[in-house]
Amino acid sequence: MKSLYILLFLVFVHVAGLTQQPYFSKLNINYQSSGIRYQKIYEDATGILWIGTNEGIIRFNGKTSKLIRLPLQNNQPITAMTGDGAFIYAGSENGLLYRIKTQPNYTVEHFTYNENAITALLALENQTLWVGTASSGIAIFNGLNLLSTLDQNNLLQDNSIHFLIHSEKKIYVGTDAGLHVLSPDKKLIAITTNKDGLSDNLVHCIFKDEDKLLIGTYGGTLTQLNIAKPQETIVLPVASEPIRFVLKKNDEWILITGDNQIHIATRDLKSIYESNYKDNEALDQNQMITDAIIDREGNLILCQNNESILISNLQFLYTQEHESISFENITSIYHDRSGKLWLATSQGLCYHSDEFIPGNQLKFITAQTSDPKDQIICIREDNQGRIWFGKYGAGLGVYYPNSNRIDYVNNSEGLEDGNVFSIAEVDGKMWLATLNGIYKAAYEGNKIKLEPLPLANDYSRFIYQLFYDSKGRLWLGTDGKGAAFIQNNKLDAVLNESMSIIDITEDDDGNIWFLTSENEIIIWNETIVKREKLKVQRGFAHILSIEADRSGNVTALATEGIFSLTLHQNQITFFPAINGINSNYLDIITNDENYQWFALENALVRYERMSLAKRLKPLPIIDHILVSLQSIDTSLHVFNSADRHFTFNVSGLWFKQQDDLVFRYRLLGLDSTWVQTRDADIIFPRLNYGEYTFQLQVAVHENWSEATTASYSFTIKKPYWQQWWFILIVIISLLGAIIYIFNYRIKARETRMRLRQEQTQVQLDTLRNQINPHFLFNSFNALINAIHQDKELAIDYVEKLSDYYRQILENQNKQVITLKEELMLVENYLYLQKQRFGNNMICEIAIPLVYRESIIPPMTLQLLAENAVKHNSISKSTPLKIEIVVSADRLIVKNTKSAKINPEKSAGVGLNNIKSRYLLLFEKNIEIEDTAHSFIVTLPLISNDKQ
Amino acid sequence: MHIKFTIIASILFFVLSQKAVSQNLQVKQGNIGFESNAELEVIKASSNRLKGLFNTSSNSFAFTVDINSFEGFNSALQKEHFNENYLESQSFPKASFSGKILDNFDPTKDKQTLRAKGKLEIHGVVKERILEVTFTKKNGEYHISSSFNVLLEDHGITIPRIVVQKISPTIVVVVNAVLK
Repeated sequence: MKSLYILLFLVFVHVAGLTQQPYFSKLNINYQSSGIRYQKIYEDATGILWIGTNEGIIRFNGKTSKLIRLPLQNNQPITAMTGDGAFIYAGSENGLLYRIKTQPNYTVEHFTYNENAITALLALENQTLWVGTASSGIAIFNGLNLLSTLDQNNLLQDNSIHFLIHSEKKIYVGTDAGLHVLSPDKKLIAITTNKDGLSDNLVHCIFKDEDKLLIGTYGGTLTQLNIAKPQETIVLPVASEPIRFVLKKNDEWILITGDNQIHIATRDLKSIYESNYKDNEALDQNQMITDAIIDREGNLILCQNNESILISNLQFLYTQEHESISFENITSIYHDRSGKLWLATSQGLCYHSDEFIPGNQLKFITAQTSDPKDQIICIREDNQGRIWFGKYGAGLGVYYPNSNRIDYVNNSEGLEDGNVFSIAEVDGKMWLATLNGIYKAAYEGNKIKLEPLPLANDYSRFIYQLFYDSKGRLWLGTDGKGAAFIQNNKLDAVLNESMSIIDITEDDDGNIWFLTSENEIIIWNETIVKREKLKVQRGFAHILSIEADRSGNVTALATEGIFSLTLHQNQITFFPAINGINSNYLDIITNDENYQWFALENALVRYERMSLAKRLKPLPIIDHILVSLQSIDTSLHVFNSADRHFTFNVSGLWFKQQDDLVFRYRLLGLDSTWVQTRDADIIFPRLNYGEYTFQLQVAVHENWSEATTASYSFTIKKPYWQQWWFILIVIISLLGAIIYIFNYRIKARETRMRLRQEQTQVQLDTLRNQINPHFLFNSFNALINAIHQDKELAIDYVEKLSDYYRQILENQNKQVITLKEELMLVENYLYLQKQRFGNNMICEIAIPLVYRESIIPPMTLQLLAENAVKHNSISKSTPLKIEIVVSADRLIVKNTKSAKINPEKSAGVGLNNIKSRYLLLFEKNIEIEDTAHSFIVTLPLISNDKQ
Repeated sequence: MHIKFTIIASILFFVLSQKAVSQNLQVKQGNIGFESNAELEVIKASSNRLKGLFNTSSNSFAFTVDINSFEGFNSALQKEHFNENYLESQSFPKASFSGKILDNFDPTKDKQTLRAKGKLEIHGVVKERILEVTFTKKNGEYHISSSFNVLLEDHGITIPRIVVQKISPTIVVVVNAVLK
């Protein structure tokens, strides 16, 4: 009986409520492919959309799309998707599970369990993935394999899984055999079936809302299970088709059924209505809705199986027709204190109430009229609950709800021209704005008496708006005379410029807002606080009306979109209304407790205003960073000096209004001015080392005041040649090199000096020796002997003597000469001496030809020969034998030794001179072997090319 | 070889054990018919050679019919086209539906409508379907009936453009059978 009561009740509420629908437009993901079918959609934690298609996974960052192809997919549909931050998971109809890495290169891996379709995916925090399949239960993916690890006793093993959600350590599984609740360690906790109040065992979708579970079933019913109080189960019949998706928007439920209908139910499930598809061209009811999500921005995004993704900003629901009454061209709208929504439609004045009214929900109180003069353009409730309405040209009406009677006041009752543009209530008295000044209306008995308010002669007679503020001022919006207020029967003009004020409102802080006919908004608080026009893509917004929205904002309804304004910040909330937003009337916004309502040219729109705290903003995304044209992991922040080329691939997420997004960026460390762009790639080709922060903002129509900033800081290291340690090493090595070179130069110079000295010494010594009178006299004596004995020999002797001296002169300046030349010299010398000593002196020179080109300091052999002659007694008994030979690659000068009776003084200069010259020139030692019988000098042979 | 033996053994065991408990209901007499209601022509055909089993303890069932056995076309040529061009019965000789009854089968009730979920195979293409079946109890026998739609596109059956107006893209299938 109880359940019957619930059912009956729900059948009644099923017809209550104003038929409203989301307005869909196509989401442009910038991806072109004919024959593509969008099947599943997943929004990751950063707000990026991953769309499963028969051709692969599309990643859409709000600006650009990238297709990630899946191996072995073969055009199979994607039937489930989820993600866990690091990976995106997708399951296909042929049972393949794909895992796609989200950064940076989207590598794809695939796994199989069996051939059954993967129908649901759930990623848990502990990196395991629950994989629901068609008719083979749940498999667990542990990162490596798909395993069936569920308890064998549970009913899931050969069941179809439709839905998986995780909440508070419980996993809710929608199956063909009821709702199963499991623990994360795969233990069955509970099963709920139709025996427990579930309307149908075939659970297709689940939504957990605090302690309530909303369960959409195959049978088209919605069951709300109260976990704590099972007796409070509510069953709501929605459709005859399966409920495929249950989604929650702020305080309403969106239910999508198998016939592709969208149903909207109130949070308490007391009222539900079905969208009708009239004029919503984007939505094709014959195409299957394959997925539905509500994104970060509160948009409803649908995948339809016909190559389109649809988006609807759920802040707005619209009605074009209700109970066959067209809601086009509503001329005025008003929400009264009892909760009735008054509408001046082309069918007459009516009201809609959420109270249940049998038969007709729209209650008409006036009849249809075709005369434009009869159009009702303002509605106001007085403190007695009477509804006053003003007509465009046919006077004033007052509706008495208790007696269901209407009184009219027109020209004959003193209302000149009969036009009433605005009505305000001041302390229980009604004031009317007309094209002939202002009237006060008061009751005299049962009759309304009008009293014109005297205005100065030069003051405007055309009054468009009346507004009674919280400080007790009655504001006037005039044509051409600005605004004024009346307080204590005194009129104060505040905006003296010749402007027309078409709307007035007051925000929560007591600021008065004016809208001029020039689309300017002026904010006044004893003085003008701010005046501005609202920027849109091209120029300025065309504003129709303004109204405080009771949640801290002022709404400005403009042709280009809906602006939510505060004194300091503007935000645009986009509603892509059919044919844009348009209205010809002044009194077209009203507030009720939860919503703001707009009467547009072609629809009645309900707007879910946002509190200041909850205002959403476009989200800037630094999607990819390319360093030296290579995509990098964005967790990297330090780069080498060679990495100077930076590309930032940027985007902004604001799906409801993608085309109006503008970016601006700056690179702190390089330039702190903002640069505006619409490009996706921002390139810095040659950055020097240093610390940088790249900042990105995104906004709609250049409204930067509220923009959020995305930033990425990075450091380019100094090149190594600018690091301190490198500089230090360079300085040290330079210093070392300089010292070395310096030393070397000094040493070389010293060597050269010494060599020169030695040489000079040798020359001197030689000259001195050769001019040694002994030698000369001896030579001459020998020559005299020769002249006497052998003329030929004498001549030869003289020739040799002169040769000898010439050679000495020739060689004296050279550092080295060839052994051949030296031998010639020594041979000449020995020849000369041999003429003196005859056979007492034996000379043996045996130098193989090969050695003759080796080099030797000049006078070396000459000196040694000279020493041999000088220091030995040469007689028949002690002949002198001089040998110059080569042995073991060394030149050996050997002479016999026989001490002289009268030894010549010797300073040993000659031998030392040779020694030092060998050292200096060749860095080689000579060996001297002085024995009792022989004197041997061994000289190294220096080959010519070594020099 | 070994696997084959195991399969045969298990099937035998299954059949025998089932028989022992006698929970299988078998199609004693079955009829399946379809109707294509197109703009220019109505085509109807039916077959009495529907075979099937329903296991009341496991709630599983299997039904099959030979495509060749359909009779009652408007002409012999039409039947030939049906077999050769559309259903390609040489390659796909049978259509079948097998799966589980999702709702609780109550053998005591005289009349009940249950949802059967299973794999519908027509023209070699398998689709998972949920079909409603009405069980009526009469003299200890169950009379079952079901009617459902089959989209030709779902089963990869393409219709030449020239006869599009003669064949409906959605075919209505009606099944009636007596189970014992």
